[in-house]
Amino acid sequence: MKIVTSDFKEQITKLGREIDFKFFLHTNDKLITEDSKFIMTQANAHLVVEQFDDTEVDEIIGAEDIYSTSLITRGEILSTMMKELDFEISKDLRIGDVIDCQFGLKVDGDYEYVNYGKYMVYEKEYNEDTKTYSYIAYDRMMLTMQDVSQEFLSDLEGRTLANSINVICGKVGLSFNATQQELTDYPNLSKQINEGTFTNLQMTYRDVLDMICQALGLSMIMNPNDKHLLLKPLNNTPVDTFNEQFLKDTNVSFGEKYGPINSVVLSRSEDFDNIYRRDEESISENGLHEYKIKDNLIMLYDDREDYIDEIFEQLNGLEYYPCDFTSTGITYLDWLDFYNVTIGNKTYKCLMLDDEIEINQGLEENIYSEEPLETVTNYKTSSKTDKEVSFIVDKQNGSIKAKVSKGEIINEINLDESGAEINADKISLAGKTIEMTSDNISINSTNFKVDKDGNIEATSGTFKGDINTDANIIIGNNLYVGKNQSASAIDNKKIKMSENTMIDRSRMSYGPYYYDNINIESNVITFHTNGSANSTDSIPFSSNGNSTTIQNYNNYIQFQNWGIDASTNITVVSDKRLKQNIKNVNTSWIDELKVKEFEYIRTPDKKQIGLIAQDYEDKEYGKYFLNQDNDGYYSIAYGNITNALIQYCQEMKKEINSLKEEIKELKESDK
Amino acid sequence: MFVDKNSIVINNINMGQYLVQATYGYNKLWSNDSGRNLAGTQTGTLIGVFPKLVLQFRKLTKSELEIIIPILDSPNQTTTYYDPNKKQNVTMTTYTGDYEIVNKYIINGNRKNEPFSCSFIAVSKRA
Repeated sequence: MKIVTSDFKEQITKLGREIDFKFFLHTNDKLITEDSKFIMTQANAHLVVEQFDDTEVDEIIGAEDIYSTSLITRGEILSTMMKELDFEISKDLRIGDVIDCQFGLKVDGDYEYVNYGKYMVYEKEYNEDTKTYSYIAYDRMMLTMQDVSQEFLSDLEGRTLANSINVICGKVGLSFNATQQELTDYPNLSKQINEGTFTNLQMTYRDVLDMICQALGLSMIMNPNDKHLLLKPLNNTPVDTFNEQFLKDTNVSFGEKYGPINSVVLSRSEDFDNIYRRDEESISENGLHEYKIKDNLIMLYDDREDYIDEIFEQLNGLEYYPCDFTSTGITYLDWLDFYNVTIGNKTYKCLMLDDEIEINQGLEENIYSEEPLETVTNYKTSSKTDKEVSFIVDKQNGSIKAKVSKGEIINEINLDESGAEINADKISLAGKTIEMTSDNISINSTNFKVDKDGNIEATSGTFKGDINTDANIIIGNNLYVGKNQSASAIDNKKIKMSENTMIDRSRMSYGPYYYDNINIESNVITFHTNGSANSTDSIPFSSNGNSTTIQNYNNYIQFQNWGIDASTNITVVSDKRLKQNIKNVNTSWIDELKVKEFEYIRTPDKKQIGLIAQDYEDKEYGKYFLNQDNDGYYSIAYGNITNALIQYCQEMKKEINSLKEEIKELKESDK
Repeated sequence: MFVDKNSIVINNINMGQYLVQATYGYNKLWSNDSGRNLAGTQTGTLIGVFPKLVLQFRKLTKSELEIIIPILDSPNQTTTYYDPNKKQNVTMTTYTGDYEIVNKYIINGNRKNEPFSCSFIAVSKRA
């Protein structure tokens, strides 16, 4: 609040008040011509600042030459504020001229003046009808409206906020020095701007200062009398109280009270990624009133919690009545001043945000403030720290990063120009159709791998459905066919089949002939059912309705129903190195063997000739060719009988030869 | 006859000898911000007090008229008068209002026109 006497405050409401207004003009012959907007051109802005000298007052423009004046103050909390002066006078000023303006009120015979500070002429227009000049002027905050170079922005990265303000002010001809008290009171001044914050961006110095304001939880204004930039906190204490005497009888309205603010939210990517601080006690008493700061570039990284406490400290408890009224004239309130308006029994605590003082022949002041845009945050998806939830949309670098962490579990999704990467504890894809199209798909997990060449490796698993392939299936270990297979660690390189499963043979045609093949390239074909070498379980073969069975019978292979039709010899192992207890054998028992004709019960239409095992079961020589299975059924090793026939025939041959000699001798003796 | 011949001087000419009477007006000019406030109290900015002299001229001869008329027709005049508020003679710049002169005779050197009046209004507010 500007300093005025109590008489001033009383007199300004009186009928017959007399007012005055003055401009103190500071000119400098070295200023550039009005053709160039010096504050908008990088090339000459620095020139103006260097050459400017506003200490000398060259001329006073009095009320008799001023047709109208509007002093405009307008801004939002947590931002910079630039004051505006619109006026119409008969004098021709230059773009860039600096004027001080003062408003005076006659108090006790003399004028008491209120100083509104310095303004720089920015625009002008000549009014042909009235022969006057209309001007728009701004305070020195206008110097920050210049575009910033990328080089300068990069230089800010790594600096503290206090230093950044200092550097910006030095660049545009202003000054700033954070006092030790300010560094203590506003610890965010010492926070550093992260690398990459301003990459590939276009903005003005003022844009950067606005972001810094939000990060500090403060506002910034110009000192009215010099080039110093000031930090302005919100002070909740009203500076003065105004009653109906200060209000015109029309256009007086007050809205529902805004606040008290009891929650501050820092938001990234709209409402997706938020952290917050809340005053739970105030919320339960007053309801939730949040203030949200969205997508502030300085607070776009995972250190937002370093800023939010101080911002919350500055905003917690802020409350005021939005208002819109025309005053008979107050003139001495400053931007962000709190003040009370008392009407009857009701008192409204208001905040000065938007003020327009119109002075022509009389005085009128339009005061307006509204509440910040209402925001709603889903606190269930928000967090108090960045460590749990983060979602960063980095438009300048073209990337999106999402992260959710709890304890040691961290799940992340990263999208940038190099591709998309998902690191998560579990990834689920669910949909009616999932299509994946690429040149190469690689899967690398502990139990399942597919490399870029299409090689598949799995530690275990079940595949349901047909596997059709035009290429080979190479099995490096066991192939289990059928259910209920129990894998044994000692069983390697086997096709293991459960009960009632079959190997369905392929059929190869060779001219008019068909060959049914089971091609197994190995040294041994082993059929195990229950793992017992003495099992009588059988392996059936069937073809065209005919069936036969191969079964393991006491380490013998039994072929049932049909014989073995071989196109080559079936041999038996005969190496001496594999034999023991070798001796000569009597084969005279061959004479006792009786060959019978018979039919097997299973194949009654096929005549057989052979021996009947029971005829020899009590014969000593039966041990050479009789076998009996676990069910008591006999089989005969005809091979051993054949072997005995070799010696029998040899003996018969000797006898025949001896008889031939005897006959020959008899014939010769008869001659 | 106007008693004090020196009390009103316009463009360095004492008007008293030509006047029957003078009316001194002190008109207040209020700004357009004047009105009642929310408490019902009249409030507003007083732009200033603008003095207004209404001079009643006697019958004038042809030669006297020829002295007065140029003053009345000029856009501005320098007018000095006694202001009781200031307790002294005050000089101000004035402009004149419209005036009409009645002449029953064809003007000749010996006949006088009928009396008439004219206003002298301050351009600026009284200091």
